[in-house]
Amino acid sequence: MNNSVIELKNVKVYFPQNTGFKKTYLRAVDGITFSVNKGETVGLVGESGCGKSTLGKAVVGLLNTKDGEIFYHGKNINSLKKQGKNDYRKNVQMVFQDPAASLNPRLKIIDIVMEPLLNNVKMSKQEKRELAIKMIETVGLPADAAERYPHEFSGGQQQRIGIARSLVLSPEFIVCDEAVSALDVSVQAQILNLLKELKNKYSLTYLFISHNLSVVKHMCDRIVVMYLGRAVEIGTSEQIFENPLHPYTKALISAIPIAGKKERENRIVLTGDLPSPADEIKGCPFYNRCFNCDEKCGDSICELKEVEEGHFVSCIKI
Amino acid sequence: MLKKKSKINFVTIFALIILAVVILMVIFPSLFTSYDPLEVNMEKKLLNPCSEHILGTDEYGRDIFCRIVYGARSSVSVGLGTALLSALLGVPLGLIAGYYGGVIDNIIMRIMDAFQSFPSILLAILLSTIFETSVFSLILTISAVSFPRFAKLVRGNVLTIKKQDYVLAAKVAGVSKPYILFNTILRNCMSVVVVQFSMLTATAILIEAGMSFLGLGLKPPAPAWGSMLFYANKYINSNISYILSPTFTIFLVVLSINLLGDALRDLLDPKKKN
Repeated sequence: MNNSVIELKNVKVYFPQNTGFKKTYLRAVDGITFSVNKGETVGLVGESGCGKSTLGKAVVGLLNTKDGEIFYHGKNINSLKKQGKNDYRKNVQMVFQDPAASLNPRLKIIDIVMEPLLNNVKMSKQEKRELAIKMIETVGLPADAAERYPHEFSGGQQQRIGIARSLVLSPEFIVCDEAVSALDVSVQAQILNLLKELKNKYSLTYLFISHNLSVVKHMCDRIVVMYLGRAVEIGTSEQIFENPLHPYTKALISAIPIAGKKERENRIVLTGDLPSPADEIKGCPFYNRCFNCDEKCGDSICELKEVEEGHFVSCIKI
Repeated sequence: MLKKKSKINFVTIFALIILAVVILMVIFPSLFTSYDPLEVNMEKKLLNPCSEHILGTDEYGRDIFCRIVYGARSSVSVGLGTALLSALLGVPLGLIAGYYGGVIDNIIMRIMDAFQSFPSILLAILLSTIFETSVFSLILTISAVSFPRFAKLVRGNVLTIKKQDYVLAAKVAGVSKPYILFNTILRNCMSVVVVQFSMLTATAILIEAGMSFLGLGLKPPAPAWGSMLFYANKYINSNISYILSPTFTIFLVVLSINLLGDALRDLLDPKKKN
């Protein structure tokens, strides 16, 4: 794909663990391949601990990959030269999950929003200031918010500040790491609409990490379903919601609450526990919880295969 | 939003007044007294407080109030000097150890352990045999055993702060490492540093007094609060104000420094301003 902004190829992020004498690894992200095209919003969904946030952090360069490659406009980010690296950093920004924790409590809003401008751009101080204030206004806060401290704002306002900070370098790609899950439902909608609005205004591309399927459905063009550090299903929003193929995706979608109904029809309740990400798994990672598996699933390696255009599933039974 | 002015309470004002007076004593001791702290007058020795000598005189007939005033210089220098030297050594070491972790952290912390396990009195005796005891050698001795505490305290703080989202956000923003370390992280450690600084200033004055009491402090006839205590000890029956004056002075100054440290910590925290 030529118009991909970010492309991941078999990306692995492992955390070393010291358990006695043997050095083991926690496989947070264990070989993921997908790409995000220009102007697209790609959702990354999965349960807690499946490696969504780890992958997001690896994409913005906060974590090193153990294996695999991340391409930015077709270039491997590890082989980028200084100029290219700066360019990459300027263009790939992040919005964090907890708005209160992501703002330095000792800095004024103006200094927080100006932080990305410190090293990355050549501008006079006055120009930086004006740009920061413009951004604060763009995300829907009054200009006099600039001189106040983060604790004086509500969660939704704090997240707006976080968004202003990530936008101030005018990036093309933003990783939204559970950007709304710490907020009240009414505020969530406001922030989601703001993100959509900004996307159109600045022609942004999002990687939208969330565990909330309704939010993902509202926001995303394409969806990547993650389970235990791997992608189990990739497809467009319609494909995933109308025609889920992987048993895990089916179970996830059957769990979405529907307004007005007391009992959900055909709710699939998974049994069993998530295998430990420290163990090496030979076959299908979903094997021990699947409702549709047989002996073969535990042994045979399953990989993503295309079942219809743009719809990939990793299950040997399909 | 209504912005209230930061509330400086009565206790802080009291501490500020005491410290302002002490600083004046350090800079212009002659403003407070017309006596000479070294002038011996054997006819007037061990006088009780009277109109001529408001705190009485010592065993050589020197005015006690005058010696308290002139003694401020050495005591305050030891206190502030120690806190400053310890902070200058301890804070960067703690920042680096906490931020980089791993081998660097281990090396720095084991050296700190070695410094901390050295008995301070023994070190003082050692140094006083090598050098003439002076304000400077006292600062060195007390700093040598107290700067590791600074380093460990800061390191502990950095360990929690470096995992905060706002530090990650600064990294994503492409802010340089030294800036993150000495601005983002240090700013959030500041309340601990300020409190430790004020506590160490007070402790150093007390340690100086204790060492003088053991005869390891500043040598006579130079006036210092600690050594006054040491000599006054013998005359507790003849002139009670001789021993009470330095005791009470040390008490007041140490208390004020601690109170000021608390007030400063609150003042530096934007959350407590309103």
